[in-house]
Amino acid sequence: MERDAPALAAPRCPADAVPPFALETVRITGFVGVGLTALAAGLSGVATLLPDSVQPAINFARLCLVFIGMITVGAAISMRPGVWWAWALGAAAALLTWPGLPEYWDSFRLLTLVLAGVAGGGVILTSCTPFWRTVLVSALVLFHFTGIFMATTSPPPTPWLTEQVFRHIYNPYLQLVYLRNAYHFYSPEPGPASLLAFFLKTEVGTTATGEPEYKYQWVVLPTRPADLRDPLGLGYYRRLSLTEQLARGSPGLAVPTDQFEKTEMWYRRYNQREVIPFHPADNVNIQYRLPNPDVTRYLLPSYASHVILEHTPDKQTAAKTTVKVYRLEHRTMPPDQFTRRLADGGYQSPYNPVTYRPFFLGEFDVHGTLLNPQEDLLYWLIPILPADPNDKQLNPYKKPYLDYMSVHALELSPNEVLAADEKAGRVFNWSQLK
Amino acid sequence: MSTMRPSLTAPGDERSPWQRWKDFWFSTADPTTLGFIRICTGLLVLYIHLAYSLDLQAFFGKHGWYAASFIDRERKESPAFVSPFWGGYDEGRMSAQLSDFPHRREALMTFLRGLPVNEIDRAAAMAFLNRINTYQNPDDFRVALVYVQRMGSRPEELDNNLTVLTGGQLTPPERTLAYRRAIPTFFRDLPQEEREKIAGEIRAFWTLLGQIKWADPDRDRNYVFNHFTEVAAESRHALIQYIATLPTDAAEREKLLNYLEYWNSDPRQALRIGYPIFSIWFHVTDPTQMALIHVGVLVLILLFTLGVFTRVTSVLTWLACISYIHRTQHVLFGMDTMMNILLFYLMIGNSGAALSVDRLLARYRAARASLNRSGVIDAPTRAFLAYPPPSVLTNFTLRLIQVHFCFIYTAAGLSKLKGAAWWNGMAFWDVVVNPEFTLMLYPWYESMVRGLASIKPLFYFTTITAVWFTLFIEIGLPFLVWTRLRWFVVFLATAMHALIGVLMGLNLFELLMIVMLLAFLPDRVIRDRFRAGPGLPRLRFTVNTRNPAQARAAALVLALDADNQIALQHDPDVVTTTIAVGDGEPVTGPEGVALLFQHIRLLSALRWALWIPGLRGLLARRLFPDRRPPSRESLSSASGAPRSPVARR
Repeated sequence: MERDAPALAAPRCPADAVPPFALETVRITGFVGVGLTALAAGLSGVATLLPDSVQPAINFARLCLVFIGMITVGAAISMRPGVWWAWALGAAAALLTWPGLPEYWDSFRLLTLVLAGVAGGGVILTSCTPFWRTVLVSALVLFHFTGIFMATTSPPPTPWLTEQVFRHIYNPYLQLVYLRNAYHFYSPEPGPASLLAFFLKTEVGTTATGEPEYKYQWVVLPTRPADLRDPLGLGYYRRLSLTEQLARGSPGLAVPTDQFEKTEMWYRRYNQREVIPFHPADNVNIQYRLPNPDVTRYLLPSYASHVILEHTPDKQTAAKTTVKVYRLEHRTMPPDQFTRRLADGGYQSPYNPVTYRPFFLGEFDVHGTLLNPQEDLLYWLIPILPADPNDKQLNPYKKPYLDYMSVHALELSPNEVLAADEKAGRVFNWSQLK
Repeated sequence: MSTMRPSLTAPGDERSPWQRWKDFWFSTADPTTLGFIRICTGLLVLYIHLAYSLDLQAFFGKHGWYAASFIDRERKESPAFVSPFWGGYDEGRMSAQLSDFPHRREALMTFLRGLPVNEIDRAAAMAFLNRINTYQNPDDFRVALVYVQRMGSRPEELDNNLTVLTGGQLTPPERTLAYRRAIPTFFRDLPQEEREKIAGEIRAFWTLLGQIKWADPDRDRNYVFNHFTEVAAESRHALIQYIATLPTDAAEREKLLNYLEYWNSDPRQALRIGYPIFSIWFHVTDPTQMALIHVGVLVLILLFTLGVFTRVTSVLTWLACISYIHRTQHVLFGMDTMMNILLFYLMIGNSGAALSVDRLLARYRAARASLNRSGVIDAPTRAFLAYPPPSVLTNFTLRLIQVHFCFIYTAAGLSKLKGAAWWNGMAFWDVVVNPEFTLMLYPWYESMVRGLASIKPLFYFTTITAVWFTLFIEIGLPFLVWTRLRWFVVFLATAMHALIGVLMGLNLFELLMIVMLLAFLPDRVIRDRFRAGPGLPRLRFTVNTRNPAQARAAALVLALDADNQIALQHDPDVVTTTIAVGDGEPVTGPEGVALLFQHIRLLSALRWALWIPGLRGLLARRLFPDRRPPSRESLSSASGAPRSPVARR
């Protein structure tokens, strides 16, 4: 069958040189597409009468019919995008796709309604005169960029006008098409990067004295070169994005809410100062970082669960594993510190552990449940402080830092951590961060 | 852009605003630029999704970093609130809220779940809270609640306090005085009858608290009191209202309470529940199925990049890519935002009109139609074959990209002015010395930066110049790009993105920004870069255009001849088509195919394809149909006798 319309007259301009597809071809293609989606919709009615054992096969067939049908009708529209009834067939197919999809494909059912709306818009635009088409498209352009503008003004402090218009009108549209970004890159300040350190503790048995015996493992997100899996390091930067999500929070002590809890929490922390001191360089108010509610509600539990499942061989082991999560905020060094010579003639490395600020975010089980919401150091900064590398007795590995994060994770004394070999894997190995 | 439109800034421009608007958005433009943007975007998108292959389960799997169960709950239940449209200026969002601390919230939920189901009983138990909630002065509420809270310290305290409140006496009388001093003045001044009523309400409230099964009664009761005491007045009103309006139906009630426990808000007050997002990864979690679909997506992106059925593949590509975006937004950063913007607009415009397989197909159909119609390549077809015709949709799409880019830069630039570091230059230092992003792990980089920072005037000059440069580009480009300085600012912006890409390793992000900048280039820039120079060999394709098979062969050859190297020569006597280079011997069949692949610029890049078994023979049959081994006579007549060439130029 000849798909092109017979072109008996010479084209008037170069744009007309390509003969349009025959309307018959477009009609047949469109109706085939509609037919396939109608078949899927019909199967949905039949499916309720069939036994459960065949439901997966029926659902798969429905999905295939819907997918092929929509592509087919899309092809029909693409053959003659200026023909209104091609768009009308598209709208009909999209509407039939709604019942054609299995019910649990709810997000795609939403998409089909959107596509039906778009196709309906196509019908209107192609039916209009050129003048009204110009007017309608212009209105759509203004609508679209007003939304983009509203998105750029949506971060706090949000103007009332943006809040009302954005929330009422634009948010669903921009959220659907992922155009709600405010483009406030590195604003107001670039800010330090964060890493995550996960301390997994798995109960593997009991000792001779009846005490539970544990196996320990540290996991860091991200690390180089392990997470540089592709030539351009995209996987590494994606992991940095994951860590940045947990950085969203506020200096909790400075926020004037939940003062009763903060009073109790302060005393819990204060009572631990002999074991784990406050960081001497930072104001106490900013040593407590309360994560945003969405971080504690679903991000932290999800991350914790994922890490346990990924680093345990089976469900039974996972059930006996807990994970402590630390967010390591890596401050950038000011120029004077960066250029200052040390006593040994060298310079402080930007990867020196004392440049990290670990915040304890909680201990979780495999289900993502926070085990002790009243843990003394929950959401507090756990310092990494300078230590004397020349004390051979206490510090055989000449570490210039005292790692209180390992003190907290392993519940060891500072001297035990100072004297431990990081390469053995029990205390945190800071050299892996470079 | 197209030379057909008048300049936007021409002096003495007397066009009306409507005409200017139409000229800006609805003029025509060469689709070559858009086609090039499509190819660049497609290649980058392909890389981005190839990189996903290594982390498909970690990012999008059922138990990935952001597990399927969490995103499902978030997309179906997450509330969106908005402050009241009418009402007072200080009225914020009013929804019941609990403490965000898990142990305190647990106590509050125990309290809420322990409330009487029956509305009348609940109202009676909560009468005291409802009473003091009406007090205009928030301090009065707190004083009254603390007064009642202290009654629970010991069992007899409640009786003693209520006895004194209602005017009774304790022994010894000094105790009465002590208790009377504790009564808030606004209670003390009330008539006897009213005080007795209050006492009854307090007793009912404490009875309720006594009936609830707390984990730790003293601690948890105090958590409840603390919350009501310290929460803001509007939130307290909302919580008490929430309690009053809890449904009596057990299932509905539990649903509401579960929602409050997880989302810390009342869904009945929300403007909207859930996100209108879609993703195939919400519904497909089996690793094998995911892998197969992912491979399909990669093939789709490749087809889009090559410009195969672009009108369909562009839409499918955007739908596929946004599936990844919606599933796990926590792995995204600015690169994905730019990728999405480009794919969204490329979907609207016909980005397959140039530099695409679609363009080759269109060339074939145009040539075939012309040959079928008149046996020659007519002038409009010739023009079509020479250049893709300018189109309104192309211009419209390029304008969308340009305007959106201006919004991005304006927002990025102005928002930076909120930060002190962008005024004093330290923002550049914080970027350059960031150990996670930059090349700081290399000793040479660390030494270079230290050297810069060691010379104070050089340090300040560099940092301040860098931030001023960034701000100038980001705030200035949206205005200057519409003037004669377009070339200059586009060049500076490209340099800035290249520097960021090198310094911070965000190479894909910056490449996508540079691709967006391509939209500002004039039409001919890209087109002329793809145009071959005059030194290409000229070929002669002899064909009987009245023979349908030969006409199709000619159309196919012309379609593949993107640089118009071939002249068609009509010969009604030829048995089959032949090809010759210049005045050389004409050849046909597989030799002809080889000749084409050797000399036609587009085909020469695909010469490796001739190694595919059967392809050469297939092409020989299509391009040189009805071929018989050439006889001496037909070859000599093809080279010597005069012919009527099918004029192409």
